[in-house]
Amino acid sequence: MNISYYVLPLYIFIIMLFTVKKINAFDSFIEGCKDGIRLIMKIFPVYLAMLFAVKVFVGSNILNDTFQFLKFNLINSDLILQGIMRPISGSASLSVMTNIFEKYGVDSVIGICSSIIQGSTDTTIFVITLYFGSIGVTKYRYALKLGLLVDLIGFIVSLLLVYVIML
Amino acid sequence: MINRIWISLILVGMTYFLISGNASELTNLIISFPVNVFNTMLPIVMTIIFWSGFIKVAADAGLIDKFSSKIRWLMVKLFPEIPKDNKAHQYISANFLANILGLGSVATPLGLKAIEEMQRLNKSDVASNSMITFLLINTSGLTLIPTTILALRGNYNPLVNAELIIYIFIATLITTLSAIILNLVVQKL
Repeated sequence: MNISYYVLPLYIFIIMLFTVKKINAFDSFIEGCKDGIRLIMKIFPVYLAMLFAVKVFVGSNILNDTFQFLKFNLINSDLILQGIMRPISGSASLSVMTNIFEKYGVDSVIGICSSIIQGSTDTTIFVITLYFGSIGVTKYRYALKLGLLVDLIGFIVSLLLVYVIML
Repeated sequence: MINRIWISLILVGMTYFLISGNASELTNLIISFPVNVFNTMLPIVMTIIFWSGFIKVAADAGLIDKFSSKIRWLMVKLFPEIPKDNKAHQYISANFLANILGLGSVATPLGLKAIEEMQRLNKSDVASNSMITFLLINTSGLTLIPTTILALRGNYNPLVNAELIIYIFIATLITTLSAIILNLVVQKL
């Protein structure tokens, strides 16, 4: 675990070491920051738009309520809720995961499965709209469908993996 | 596409808010939304700008080029549309490395630079094959150490933690590989 504390310092250290006598690192840093501000100007409106929609949708509790009513025999309904939240909102699916930890225990079959689900995919819908939005691409072709299919694969793989490990 | 998703999320969410009698909550959400965005977005904005600075230093010093030349064969295979010595290759490789190392704050500005370079080749509002490949690999969540999950689990004194890194790595490796393979299949069709 402690190794992770060396990654960022080492990264900056190596960059600095390589620049000695080669380039004006200070000027490059300033230029880079300006570049960063330009990137932010491009993605911020997209981020704002998407975040509002996600907040309203997730905040309405429609998903939570739906999955409290539905009972699944095969797969735990909290896990399904997390799987559906995952591509839409990182923070919402993380909070489902913490709920699962509290409800079933962090080392329970469901707790471990939930951790793997969280780790095996990303906030697909959010990331894809953000990146495409930043460059003005509006026709995504099959990107979203395939991204969500991969998320579904990740969900199934997580279940199978836990099944193999635990049973 | 995105327009329809955006409208449906908002309309469905608002409708459910209203029929479940939580109009006051919805109003509070709308009022506090800009302030909340400011609070959550400010650290992200600052991190992206800060790391963009160091990324530029690394790029000017030839560090990113040096690293990406080592995996150029892989880049050429994955992104055949992009010309061999294009900058996009460099930013994509650096983005993958940052993702694998779990450096999300570094990966995001690199990824945005990468897709910007790809758009320079694409010059249209339709996504190119290489953009889709890039985003699919990015959203398949390839990482060596899932720091957020481990930190959250840490609050509950878990017995299983080190093994979990391996399980998550296996799962994310499978999703990343299936993203690459499925994408190849679809592009060939």
